[in-house]
Amino acid sequence: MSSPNNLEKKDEVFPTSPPSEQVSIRAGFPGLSRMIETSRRNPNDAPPWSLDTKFRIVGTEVPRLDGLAKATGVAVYPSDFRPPKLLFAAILRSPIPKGKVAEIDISKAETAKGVLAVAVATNKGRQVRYVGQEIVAVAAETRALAEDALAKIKVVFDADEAFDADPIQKAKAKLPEVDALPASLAEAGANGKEEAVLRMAFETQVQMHHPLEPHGVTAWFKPDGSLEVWASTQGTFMMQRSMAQAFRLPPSRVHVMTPVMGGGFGSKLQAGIEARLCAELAMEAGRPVHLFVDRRGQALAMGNRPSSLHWIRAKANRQGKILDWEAESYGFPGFAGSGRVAYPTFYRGVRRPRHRDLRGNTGAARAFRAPGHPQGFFAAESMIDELACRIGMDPLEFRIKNVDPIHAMQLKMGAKAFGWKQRFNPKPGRSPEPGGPLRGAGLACTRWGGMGGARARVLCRIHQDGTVEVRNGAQDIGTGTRTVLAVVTAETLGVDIKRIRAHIGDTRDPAGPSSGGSTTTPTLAPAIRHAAWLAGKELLDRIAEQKRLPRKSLSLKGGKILKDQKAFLSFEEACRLIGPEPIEAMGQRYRNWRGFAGGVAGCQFAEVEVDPETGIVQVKRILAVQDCGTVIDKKTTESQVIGAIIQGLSYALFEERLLDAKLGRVLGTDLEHYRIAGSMEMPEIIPILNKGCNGHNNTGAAGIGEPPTIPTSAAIANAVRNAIGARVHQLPLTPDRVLAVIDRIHGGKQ
Amino acid sequence: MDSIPPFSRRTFLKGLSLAPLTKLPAEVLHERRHAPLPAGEEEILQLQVDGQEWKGKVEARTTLLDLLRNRIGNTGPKEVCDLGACGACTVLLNGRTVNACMTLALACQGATVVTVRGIGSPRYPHPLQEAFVEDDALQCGFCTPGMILSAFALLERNANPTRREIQEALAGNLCRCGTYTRIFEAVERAAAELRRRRNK
Repeated sequence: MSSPNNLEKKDEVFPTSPPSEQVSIRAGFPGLSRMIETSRRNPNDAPPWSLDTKFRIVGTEVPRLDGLAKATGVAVYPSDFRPPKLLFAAILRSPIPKGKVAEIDISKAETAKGVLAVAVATNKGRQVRYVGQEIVAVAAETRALAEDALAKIKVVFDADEAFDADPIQKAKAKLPEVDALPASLAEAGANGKEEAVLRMAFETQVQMHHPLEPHGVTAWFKPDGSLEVWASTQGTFMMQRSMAQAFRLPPSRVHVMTPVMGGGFGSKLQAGIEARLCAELAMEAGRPVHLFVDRRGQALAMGNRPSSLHWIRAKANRQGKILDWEAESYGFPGFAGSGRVAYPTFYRGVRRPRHRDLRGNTGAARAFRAPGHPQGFFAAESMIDELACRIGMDPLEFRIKNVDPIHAMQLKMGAKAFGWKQRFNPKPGRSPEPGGPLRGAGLACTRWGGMGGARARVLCRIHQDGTVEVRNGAQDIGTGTRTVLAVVTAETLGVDIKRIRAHIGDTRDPAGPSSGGSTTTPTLAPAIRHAAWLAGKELLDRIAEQKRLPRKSLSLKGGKILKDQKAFLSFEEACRLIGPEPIEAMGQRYRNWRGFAGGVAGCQFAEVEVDPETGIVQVKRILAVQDCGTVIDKKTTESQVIGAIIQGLSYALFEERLLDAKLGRVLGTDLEHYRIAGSMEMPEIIPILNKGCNGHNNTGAAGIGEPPTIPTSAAIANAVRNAIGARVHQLPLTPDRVLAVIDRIHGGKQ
Repeated sequence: MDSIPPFSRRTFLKGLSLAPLTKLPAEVLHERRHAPLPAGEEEILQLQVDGQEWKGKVEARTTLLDLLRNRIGNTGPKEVCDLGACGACTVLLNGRTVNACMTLALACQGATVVTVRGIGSPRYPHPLQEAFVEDDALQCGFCTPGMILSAFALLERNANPTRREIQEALAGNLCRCGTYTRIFEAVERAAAELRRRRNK
């Protein structure tokens, strides 16, 4: 194709007729690719991007579209929305872990100052299953008045003393035998035998989500009986369906708005009881009600990553082959939810564990950024690492021998960039300076699906003034959904991104996915591309009609209209010709076809420094190599990788829900006593995007939110092993746990 | 935080004799701390918020954060922990950073309050706000207003902070999405830009 009038080669050319013939495209990574037959592709779909596509804006550094609104404090989060006559609600929670509500008297609250509505969540005779369960909600003129009224509610509980808040202790007693922990540095080192046979147990803690914006909604019934909800949610359409069901309304009579929201990490996928209580209060009061859960309620009732317990028996030979792998695991999800764990089964020889969940009387688990993965990967990657240590093989080499070609490529890439050879401590447990810090390096791999595929639709409008409007009703949990809409539209039409107006988070717009499983971008991107593609074609149709030209003579490239391959009209001139009615095209999300890989892969390298006197672990550096197919926006993609690593570091070193098992109470329900990594604990973080194209849909984009948080804790734990010379089997790696191991293997002295 | 104002919610709570409670389990202690403060008499409060005068009747137990968000309608500062642990509600009170959730509104009589909306707007953003966008130093953006004001106060007293000084200045601000390293970069970028403007 010639490129007249300074149009760049990389600009996409709109053909004059739909591409009917099936094409095969190159997918994978530079240096590791193959041709993909796209025979299952829908002929109406836009032509697919491939590894050979030269992009003008996709994959560049586009600042997020709503960044300035957020940074100047004018972005209206659901908890910021203040409609006229707004009431504020507060929730009374159960102080007992198990029992029944014997008596409940709300009369004094109903007549309390400023109170307009009271809604009972757990009525007389109903079960109480954990400390923090919602009992009653009150709506009043101010939050303080609502809290005053809560104090006037009388609840008598019929407490059941036979509760178990911490069933992990029971499971520990039943665990098969494990090897004695090494009592000296020599014992922990390579044993020089033909085979290493190990039996080890691992334990992970309960992690709380604590999104900064609390769970909740502002809801009201309009005069026509329809329900409007401003929700801090990860699924606007799921919220719409749930509320419609709860209030027996057709979904079209429930309108959910989430223009921006303050984090969820999996805990805001479902429409919780707080949303239903809020709408109940609003119905009773006949006014809008703002119900956002306070921080203590967040800690008790809004989900968590369950704790886990693992027992693994594994065998490896001196050549680095895993000969045997047997594992048992337990999860402790609270009174409900799933505690299942996932193992890195892409290692040859690693098998899934036999799993059991044990329920107890604490708040229910919810999906938490890669559910089950950080737990299982900490255990299995620790075991893999220990096998390598015991046979005296470099853990990097051991892994390369046992993984698939993509992981092997990434491990080599990462090791080189990280400087593995210089940073791996060849004498674990020894410091170059006597009494000085112990240094070490560790690594771990990750894998995730995140190919997307829900039946999303996207609306694209081209207006007479040359602006392009693109709409989908899904939300942005902080990943940059709005920016993805704009980037894919701008790329497809070849226009400047400043022309694009992206609208999200409104259920009156076309349906989109919930943000779970790292699927928002891979689900939406192909529909966005399809919508923009159809709109661009209609633009040519209208110009052909207006100018009475044969449609075949026109094409669109680099945002310009070409006639017989020569520049003809600018995008603006073309738009002026379309008339007052905008061009409107609805893009579809067709099914995925078989791409290059069924998921995304990555690996991480960590460098730590351990103080042998205090056991304090300092992470100095983390390097990640991560693939997510086509990178739509480099800046926001890297941000997600960095964020996932920081959350993983926080999980590895600090976060732990402490429990008073005798009382069934969670300790540390505020952000002062539940420790989350802060600015002082930040290492240097190097995110390397392993750019490629997965070739499973018209954009080849895959998800990124979850995969990079999976291996961080394992990589840090392995680095600590390399530094101190023996393994800590339990997360988080608190100073006391690290010190206990140092003391044991060094006999109390360095 | 720079300083604790003379009369804060923390000292107010202390006045309610917390001392005998300290032996209770942390959770019980927390519940007591979180119990609603008694409704008090109202007083007329006058203060300036982002350059605008505000005057009205305010209850003794009303916090500055409650006043800003629910009476004045400025939802720039965010409510996250409501106990001074996260810094999302950070504002400038007479030029110094405070947690608005730990500051009683009536302690701000005649004071000047600046929120994230007061240092710049989408049309005329402050270099810090521009830098946060440029470096993508935010994801969900809920910690951002507090982060920006803590950084703003730092740059007011130290035009050329080291990485360590930036980390220390932001130690009272929590981010859950994990944007810290990009925030450090943004603060450095803004500091350089402000120095450039000053030297012009």
